[in-house]
Amino acid sequence: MYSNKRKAIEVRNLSKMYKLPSHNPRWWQFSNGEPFWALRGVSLKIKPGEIVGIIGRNGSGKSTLLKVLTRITPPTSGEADLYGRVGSLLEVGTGFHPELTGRENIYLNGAILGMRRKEITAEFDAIVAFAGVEKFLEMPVKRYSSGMYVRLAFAVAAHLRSEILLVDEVLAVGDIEFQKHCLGKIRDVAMSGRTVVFVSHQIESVSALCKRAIVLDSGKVIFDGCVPEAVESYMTSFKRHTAALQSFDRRPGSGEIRLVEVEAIKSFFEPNEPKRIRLLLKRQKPTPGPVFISVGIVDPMGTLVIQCDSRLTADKFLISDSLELELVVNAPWLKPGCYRVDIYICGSALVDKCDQACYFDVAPVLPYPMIAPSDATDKGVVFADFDFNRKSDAVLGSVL
Amino acid sequence: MKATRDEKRGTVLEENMEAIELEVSMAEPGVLGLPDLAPPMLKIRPTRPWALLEAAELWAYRDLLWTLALRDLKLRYRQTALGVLWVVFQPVAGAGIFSIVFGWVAGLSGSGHPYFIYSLAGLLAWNTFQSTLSKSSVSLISQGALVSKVYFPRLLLPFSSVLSTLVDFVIGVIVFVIISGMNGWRPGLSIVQIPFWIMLSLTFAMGGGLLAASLMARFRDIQHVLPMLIPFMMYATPVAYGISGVPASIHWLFEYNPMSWIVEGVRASFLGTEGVTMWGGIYSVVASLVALCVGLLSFRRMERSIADVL
Repeated sequence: MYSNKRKAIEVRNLSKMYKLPSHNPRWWQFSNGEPFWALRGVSLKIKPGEIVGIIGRNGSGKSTLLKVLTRITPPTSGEADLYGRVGSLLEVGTGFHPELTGRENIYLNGAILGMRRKEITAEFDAIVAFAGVEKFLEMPVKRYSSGMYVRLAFAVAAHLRSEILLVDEVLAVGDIEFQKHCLGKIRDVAMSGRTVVFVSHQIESVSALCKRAIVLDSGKVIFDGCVPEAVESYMTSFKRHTAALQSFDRRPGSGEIRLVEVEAIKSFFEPNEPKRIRLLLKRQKPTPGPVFISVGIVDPMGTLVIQCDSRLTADKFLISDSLELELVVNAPWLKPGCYRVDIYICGSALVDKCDQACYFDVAPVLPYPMIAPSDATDKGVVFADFDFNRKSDAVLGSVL
Repeated sequence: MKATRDEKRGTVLEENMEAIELEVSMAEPGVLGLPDLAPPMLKIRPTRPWALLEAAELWAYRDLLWTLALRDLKLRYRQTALGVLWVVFQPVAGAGIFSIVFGWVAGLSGSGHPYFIYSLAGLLAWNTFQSTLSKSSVSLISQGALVSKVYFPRLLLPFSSVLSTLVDFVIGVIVFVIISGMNGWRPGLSIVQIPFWIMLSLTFAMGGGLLAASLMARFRDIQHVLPMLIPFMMYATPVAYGISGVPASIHWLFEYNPMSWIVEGVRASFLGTEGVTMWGGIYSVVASLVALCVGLLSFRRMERSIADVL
């Protein structure tokens, strides 16, 4: 078969080391620093026309891999071959200049992304139509709303004529409507035979877009295959990470008190059952002041849906040695998906900040008595405990 | 109840599979214009072959060079009340100050020309050097956000500063012609040498600018040193005075400064003053080319890992 031999991207044993800067760098020791391997021996092959998702926790090496493939940074060892022109979209609006008009920025941004002037002119109308900024073309983009800005930036990149498109996390910005628009565009790009590598935190958009996903953890490929299994492997990489919460010397905050254990009581919750999260805090330095705890629960789309701040229900905690707490969230009901828990401990200033302290899943069941098509549940951010109560049978009676 | 969401995901996936099968059938050779098992278009390796610059790549990105240069030009006087008049005002004000300090107070002569015109010619030459050096040296760190997010040949950033320098120079020449013309000056044949000397000045400045830019990426100290050094260099170069007026005991110092010959060369082309010795000319050509090579080498060494350093 042709298609088995052909490749779009081949990566062989790619590694990338960064030197973490020492605490106070001096010019005579500028090559010093603790080595940190962002990628370790990554190998993969991608065929033309594939849409491949790359998923992994923060710091798993996803973005570094993309930076190496886009030549922003060289690998420390290993090789990568790309068969075709490469277009990249690492951040929406790269190279936009606030003082320039929309029209000028389309040309500037297009040229930065590697388009020829002729190509931009040919695609100009399509770009403007996609972004929906016809009326504002002669206005400096500093006066654009953030939505218009993002739309214009994505539009330029999406009209790039390249055989390989590398996309990093761009859908994290913009409203839901626009995200759908973008997903559709990326799918069109792949439909036309081009290869798309798509890095995302959002499992939902990866599973909506890709058939194949690659899971990275600590710079290594831990799974490469179809999406549902990849998502499972991604979830286990979280759980393993939760156990390794100890590395708090790298975390921000003054550190008098540190969060040493965080755990959801169950790995799966029903949407309507109370979500219980156990926290263990330990004193690390003498004489900590009273502290409060703020827990953020973030949904799969990256929206912080619930903030549980201890100042609202209890007072500040004075911790002499250690303190075990259980956070119980009774309402609202959560929609199915994987939720992230971010935890802040604050006294007079930030004491400990622990993003992605743990994860829990909400099972894909509906907490309602009826079965309905998905457009009945799609719209809200959370599920609510609601009812339609009959007040006057006369009106409804005519419908029934 | 479970069914609704699962079903939804199922349909999305099916749609996808169809799409992907379609792609495979479309992705036969010819559709993309790439033969089966063609050599890779882009090889990424830890190190890369030795070369001073990758001309083919720069050529492929020529539109970007032009766009960046135009951007600099457009942005420079946007939201200023006087706009392009600033380009006229700067050299005229500079020459005005020189005329007061050196021409009037210190009593320097202009080798038979009004001192104002004499120093204006010198300043026009010096400004091409100074503006190229200072703009190209900060081009990388001022575009840090761009450099760490997207790949393009980094050399385009310092190179793109040349256009606005040249535009400034051309406007400066027009101003010079008007002012000197009113004083009875007529151009001689030597004026055709001007492009040569300006090229030399840009080459020498670009060498220094590239070296400074690559050092500045790691050591921001350079950012503080250069603005101090540039005025110092100007007084060490015969801009406000002629090289012939330099005391014999330190004359050799000026002869080692390629900018001495370049500034004298430009002034000679404008005013027909006593020109540059042949050795001075050859020396400044060689020195400029050496400077450019040193700058390119150092820039290339740093260029690839720039995103990790910025």
